[in-house]
Amino acid sequence: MRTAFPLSILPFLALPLLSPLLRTLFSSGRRRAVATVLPVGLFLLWLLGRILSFPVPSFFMVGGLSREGLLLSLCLGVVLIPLLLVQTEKTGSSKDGRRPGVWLPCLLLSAGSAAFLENEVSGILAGGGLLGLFLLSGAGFLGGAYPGAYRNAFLLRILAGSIFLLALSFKGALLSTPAGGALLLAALLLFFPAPLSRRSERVVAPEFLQLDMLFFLCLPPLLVFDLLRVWPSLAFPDTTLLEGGVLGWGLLGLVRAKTAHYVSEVADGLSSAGMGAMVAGLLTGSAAGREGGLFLAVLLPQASLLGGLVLSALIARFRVRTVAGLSGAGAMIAPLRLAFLLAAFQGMSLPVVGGLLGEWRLIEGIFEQSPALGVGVLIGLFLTFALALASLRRYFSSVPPPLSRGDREVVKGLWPGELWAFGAASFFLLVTDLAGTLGWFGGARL
Amino acid sequence: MAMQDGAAVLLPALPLLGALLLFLFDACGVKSPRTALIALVSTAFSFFLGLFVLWEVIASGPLLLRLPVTLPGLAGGPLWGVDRLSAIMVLLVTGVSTVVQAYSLRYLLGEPDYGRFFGLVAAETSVLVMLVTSRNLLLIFVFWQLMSLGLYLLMAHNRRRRNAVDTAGKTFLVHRAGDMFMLAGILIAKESFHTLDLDRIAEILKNTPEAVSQGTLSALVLCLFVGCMAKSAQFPFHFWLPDTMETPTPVSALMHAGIVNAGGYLMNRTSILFAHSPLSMHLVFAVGFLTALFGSSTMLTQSDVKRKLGFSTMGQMGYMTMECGLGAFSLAVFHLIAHGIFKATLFLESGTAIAIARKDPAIPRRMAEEPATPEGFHLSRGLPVALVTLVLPLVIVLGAHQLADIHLSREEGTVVFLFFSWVTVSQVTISLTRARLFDSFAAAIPWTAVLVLFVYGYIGAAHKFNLFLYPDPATRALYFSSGGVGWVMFTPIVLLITFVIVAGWVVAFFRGVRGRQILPSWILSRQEALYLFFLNRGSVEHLFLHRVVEPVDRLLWRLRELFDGKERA
Repeated sequence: MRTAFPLSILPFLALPLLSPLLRTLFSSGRRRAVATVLPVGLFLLWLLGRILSFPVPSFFMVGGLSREGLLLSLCLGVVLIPLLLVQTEKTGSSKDGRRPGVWLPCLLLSAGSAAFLENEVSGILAGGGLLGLFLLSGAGFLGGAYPGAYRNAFLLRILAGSIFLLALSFKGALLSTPAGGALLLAALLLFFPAPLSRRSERVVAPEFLQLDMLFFLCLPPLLVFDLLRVWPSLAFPDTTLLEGGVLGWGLLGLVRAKTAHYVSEVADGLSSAGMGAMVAGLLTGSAAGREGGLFLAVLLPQASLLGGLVLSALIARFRVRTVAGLSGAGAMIAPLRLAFLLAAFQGMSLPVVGGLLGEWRLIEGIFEQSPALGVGVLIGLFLTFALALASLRRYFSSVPPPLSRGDREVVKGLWPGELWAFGAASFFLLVTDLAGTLGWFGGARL
Repeated sequence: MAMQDGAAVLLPALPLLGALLLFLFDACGVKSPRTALIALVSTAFSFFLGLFVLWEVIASGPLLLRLPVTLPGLAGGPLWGVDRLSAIMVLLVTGVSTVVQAYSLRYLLGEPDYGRFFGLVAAETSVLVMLVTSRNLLLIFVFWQLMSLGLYLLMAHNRRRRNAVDTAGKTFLVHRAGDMFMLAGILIAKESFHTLDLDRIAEILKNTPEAVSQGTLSALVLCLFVGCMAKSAQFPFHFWLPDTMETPTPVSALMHAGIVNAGGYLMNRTSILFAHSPLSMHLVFAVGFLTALFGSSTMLTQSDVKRKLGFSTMGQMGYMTMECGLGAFSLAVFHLIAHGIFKATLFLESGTAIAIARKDPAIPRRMAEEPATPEGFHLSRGLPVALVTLVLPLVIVLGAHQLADIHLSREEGTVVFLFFSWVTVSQVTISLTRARLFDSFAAAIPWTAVLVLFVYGYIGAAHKFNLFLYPDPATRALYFSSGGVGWVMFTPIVLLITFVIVAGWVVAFFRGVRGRQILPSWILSRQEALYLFFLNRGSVEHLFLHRVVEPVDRLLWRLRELFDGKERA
């Protein structure tokens, strides 16, 4: 982890920025979709090529790039593609390239990848801090476009987290002290979507919901994993207490999911619980914990995306985002059921779709260090499962909201772009689970 | 790949292929009912292949196969294979599934998602076959989970019925709670043995039994056992089973004949672990006993036919668990096969029985229509009744043990089974005939002949099955010795049980035959309360809801207020 950032990859990092530019050149739906997705797809292919160039699944670096960093970037890109596919539904206009739904995610992909591919400790922290500031400015931008989108307490939280990270990157010596470690952990916890106060509640525009999901639900697991790559260099002889604290923080997120008024709160809580387990696994420093942590880090954003896409599709049709308002809404749109089933099953960590083996490795790592913490993770897994199951039943098996005949016809329809997005997100989720099951996310074998 | 290996691979592959084809047809909009035959035929083929594989396993030993992929953290040792236990279970699973699918062809005709249902049943069959052929604890856990998922999807098949979906969710939740314990057990096994390969674990326990402390081993076994408890509806994880009556009848049949047996199967598969932890064996026995008592008593108070069958299954599962706790693991498998077959039959017949009862006003028959107790039944005639209903069953059961060469003095478990057989035969005799036949010895002869044939056949078959499943005498001896408590403690228990049986017979005789109640009034005064207790299923769910769920809910809202402030929360 002491290799300088390879500047030769900068042109590749700029590839996603071509998306909003190319998009404006085409007016028809299909061509515009291809033009939007192509640059990001090429970027992902480049990342995949670099990952495959590694001789065996391992944590080592090749050509100045770490395998984990490449996987995090790849995951971010994979999350972006379905979002761009949904955006192609919007009517073309001369100002099409200026849509925040297109350029903001593309910019995030470039910036995020730059941060994830950094290997110096101070660079990683600075990258994390800058990424935090980028999220903050994105939130500010969205707040301008959709008044009242974010609460001040939430924006302050992100700001504080970013400042902590930047301070640590400038004062590298701090990291080797317990105070520095505590500061880093505090910064990480501030990026957790829950249990701290909810971020937004009023806006129901699908574009806002999708970007909000990308910024504050899908990105945090990747960011937190990236920052914890510096952990082995910190001076903490016994991490059990810290692991317990982080795990407890994640479990507290489930309180928000259980008592949720808004659907996004449920997703926040479930994602936080997963992040708590992920961080606890990484803090153990064991190969199993690290492999399981990486598995979770790449699965959580994808499951959140799939669930979030379904919910934003429902919100777009019913114009409400409360749990009670969307009760039974999913039952009216058949293709959504499969997508949401996959997302819910991931939340339940079921085999084939849920990264069960990733969680197994994670718990194995934690249990090895402290059986009591292992029991904590098991309890968290069960509670997460119970809440995911409750969500599944609430949206798809309850009595649908009353609608007029005309409205029902509108609600039943699904746009082609949405179908493509659901298909792509489901496909990537399944492929990721398969890759992790085959041991691609770690080098340790017993 | 040898032919027998290929056949073993096809056992789960055929139903899976059938399921995938049906899902594909369903997705493509092919709605013809004939497509369901794909699942049926593929499962039936799997059953016949299972017969061939069983033959091969008996002739040339277990078939061990390697999976084409390596799972993270798992290396070495075959993950998958077919031995005698697996082969028997495969036959049960595929056989019951074939019958259930054949029954459903007409039963569900015209229902929405007809093809999808058959696809799900075939997929669940494939998962069950993989479960019983896995030889690694983690792989078993993977398929254990998939089985729960399949059951959830089958139970929630009719999405329009809110109750069915709710019950499916409750079942999934209870199973998952047990699964967490099972996962904890697997983690302890990994920490203790550094492997999850069951053959390797058995080898370690055989060569160096002191490698793992009794405390750790007991924790491991008990965690695995809780996983089995949830799946096999053991008290207090039982409440999901009787509530599953909203599901289609074929699903109930599959569930009661196949899926609830998973706990018994897992105890058998990991029997070597159980056998090295006598404390756990005693606890297993106690849980099984409690479940059998609770399930059977509650069954008597229920008025719904399917719910009655549900509690009957619970009682039988309790009995099966008791058998494991006594070290008679093979008997548990024998029992679950017998129970699986007869319970599937009962469920599939229950719909017809209810339909007949609805049409025929003479059903149910009133008590007044039953012939009264013969007049002139004197105390002098009580002697033949006692001989035929109490002494004769004991003589027959003892004779059957003697003929099957089962030595009662060596194994405590066999004595317990002798008592159970005695009670069962005696109770069957009393309840089926109400002792009317036995006012003379001549009238009792045909009934006695039936009993002799049945008891000798059952005990003989069970004994042969024991020798077939666990041919090694040392293994059998280890199991029974682990389930024993020592003769010093056992003798008073035997005396007490004998007293209870005889006393019970006396009460039944006076109440049923003489029409007199001889129980003291303080017991009689509690009869109603006891009846209500069982009618309300012990109020387990009520207590759980009001003492656990509601306080936790209140606590969660308090916590939320901490984060959001009272107004926003």
